[in-house]
Amino acid sequence: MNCQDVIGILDHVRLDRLEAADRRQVEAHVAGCAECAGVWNAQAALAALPDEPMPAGLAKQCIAALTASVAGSSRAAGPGNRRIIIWGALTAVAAAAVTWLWLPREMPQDPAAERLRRSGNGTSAQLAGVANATQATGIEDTRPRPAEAVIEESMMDPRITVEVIAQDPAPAGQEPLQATATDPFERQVRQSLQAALVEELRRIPNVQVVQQVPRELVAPARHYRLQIAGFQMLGVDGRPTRAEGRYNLALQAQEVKAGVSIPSRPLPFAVAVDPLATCTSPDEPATRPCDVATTAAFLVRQLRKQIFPADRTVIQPLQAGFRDFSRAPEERFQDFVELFRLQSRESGRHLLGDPQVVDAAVELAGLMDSTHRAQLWRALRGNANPQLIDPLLASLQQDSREARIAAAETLALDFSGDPRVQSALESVASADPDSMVRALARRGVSGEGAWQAYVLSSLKDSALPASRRVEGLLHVLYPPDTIQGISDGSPSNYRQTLQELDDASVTALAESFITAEQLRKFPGNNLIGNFASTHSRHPAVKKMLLTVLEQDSFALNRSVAGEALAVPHLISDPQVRQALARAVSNDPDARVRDYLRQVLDRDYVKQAMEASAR
Amino acid sequence: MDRKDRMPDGATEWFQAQVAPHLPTLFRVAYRLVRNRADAQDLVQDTCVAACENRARVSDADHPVRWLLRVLHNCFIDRTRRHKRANLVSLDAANAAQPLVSSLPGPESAMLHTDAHRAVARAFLQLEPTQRTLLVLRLEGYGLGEIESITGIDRALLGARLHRARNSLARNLEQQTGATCSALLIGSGS
Repeated sequence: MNCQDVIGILDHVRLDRLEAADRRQVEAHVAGCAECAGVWNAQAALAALPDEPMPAGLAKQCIAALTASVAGSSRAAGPGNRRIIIWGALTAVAAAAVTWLWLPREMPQDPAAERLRRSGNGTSAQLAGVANATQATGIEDTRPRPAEAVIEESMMDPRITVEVIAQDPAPAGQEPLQATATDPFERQVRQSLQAALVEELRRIPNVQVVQQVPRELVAPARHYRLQIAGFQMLGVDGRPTRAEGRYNLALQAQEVKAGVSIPSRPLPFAVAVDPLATCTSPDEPATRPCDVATTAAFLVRQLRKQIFPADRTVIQPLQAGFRDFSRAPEERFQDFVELFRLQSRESGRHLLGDPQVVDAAVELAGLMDSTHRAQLWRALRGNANPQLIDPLLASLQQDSREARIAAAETLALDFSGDPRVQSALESVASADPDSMVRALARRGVSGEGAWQAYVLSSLKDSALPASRRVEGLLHVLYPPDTIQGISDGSPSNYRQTLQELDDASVTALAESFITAEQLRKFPGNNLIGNFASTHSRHPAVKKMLLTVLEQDSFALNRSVAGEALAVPHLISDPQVRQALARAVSNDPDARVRDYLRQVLDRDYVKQAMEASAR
Repeated sequence: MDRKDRMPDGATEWFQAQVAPHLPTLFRVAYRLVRNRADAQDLVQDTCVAACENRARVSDADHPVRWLLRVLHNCFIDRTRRHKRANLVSLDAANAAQPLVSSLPGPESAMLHTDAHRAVARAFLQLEPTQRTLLVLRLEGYGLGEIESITGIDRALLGARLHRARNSLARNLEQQTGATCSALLIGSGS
């Protein structure tokens, strides 16, 4: 048995159906072949991973998801979409916050911002008048606040029950989240931290700490199980030290969900925190001791901000801070970002839809640069608050390209029924010098069909510069983040979009690829792989791959194109073989040469090349 | 209002007839892709919702389970992409970005390294989403033609993709288990 036979077995026979005799032969081969051994063992290990039995209530949950999707709140109502994996890099966040606080407070104003400010509103001034009033707003915030409560009186905080586990092994049938502590110091820290967590949680009015989250759960209460999932003593020179504050730990939170009917449903969250970093972060006074109580308080604040459904003590300071006109625009924008994060998590709750928040957002848009303004316009999408119409129209008329595109999209999606907006969009759609802005305005006037027609027609328009040809398609495939680094989680139809490109569009995209600089830098290699695998038999794609392999200035693109060419139905072409051979010998980047050498050394490639030579 | 009142016409019947028989397969594949019970449930729910929107097609399909798996694959890719775009940071990535004072492995790493299964699962979860799908479908026993119809990847490319996926898995596993690391190949994800 040789390497080819081993790969053949992997390709054609399920490992668990392997005859004993064959298995012995495989074992004999892999004993002397490191490469096959690695691949074979990995595959066998993967096959040996245990499966989970299907949850009994899955069918009911699916029916509920179908119901919810029809009702419009859809999957967002499902627990999975509320789930947030919390950054372990709390220290990184803290460090970023320090840097950010030192940014200069005065930002250069662009003319568009000035116009927006002038077109502003009386409410801003009215709100500014109360900016210095102080309000006791919550667990930690002592900054000056507007006096009036932003939060709606009718908004009730959700009821929450929490179960804290420090030591016990996981209940039967569930993943063990921790090993039982054997070290006395670790055990002591875990126990004291558990007590501190319970004490801290009991301070929250809508939280009830329980011994065990009840099996029969009653909506709309939310239920969580907390567990100290990781623990590591820190030390000097790599040697652990058993000392107060000299440890690192992770807290894991599961939401226990009733689901549609009976079965509970654990949802893993994880918060990692280094108490040392916590105590030296801007979140805590530097002089504060880094003790268990401080750590527990910090963890509970993170849970309230990032895992528990947002309550008034979390939302209110953010909304008030955002509306605090005495603060620097960057600080206010940061609060806006946090509100956006919460809103994304809490689907259905429009935390940015409060009229006073919208008013403050409009005022802030006038103070910030156009990049931030574009983010504000995108983040406010979905509110359809008429207060936004004037500033959006002003931004659409005269602003940076990015802000104009964001404004056009928000107007088209949220306000196309408004006669003034309709008139403005028609005007822009017919006469704006920027084709992309025109197309997005047309979307508001004529609907999605017009937008899709623009994307495809511009792609096929060989008279346009390549960057303009692919711009619409890229906007569809890689829509801009709502807020930089944060998506609103809207679904994408990436692969479907590629699959549905017609013949002429495939040709057009292939032609444009090599000259569209913005496409090749990012996400060039990603798109090459997906595009080539979706349309690998299209002649224009082969031509594109050859061009990229031989001419692209990005090494990663060249290696991906080379690999995409090294498939049997393409490698039978002498031109392809020659191009690959040239790349292996002459590519300016050694990594590309090495990688393509390995690609050509694959058994199926060698077979295809031998077959072609015959 | 009663839940059934809000369901699209015939959707419950469609679900019971066309999807429910395949739920065990869908859940098993979903679980193998994400190695997490809750994520797998979400993925199956997403699949059902997406499939329901095109339920006439699943009813007409020669192989409904393959069609459903195709929907599941697309949902999986979209979910993965959304998570990436949302800039969610795994604990491992966070630890990598912020080295701890100690040179010992981080608490999460220590927890996850407690047994071989977790190491394998972690190695698998480091793969690109499409690579995961390919390996899982092979484990399920699907042939290359069937995998082509599920993933939309040209059959001629599947050998290459599978080969790369297996090598990547082996390499990741090698790193997980502390063996000698080979140099990372350059190349894109799928």
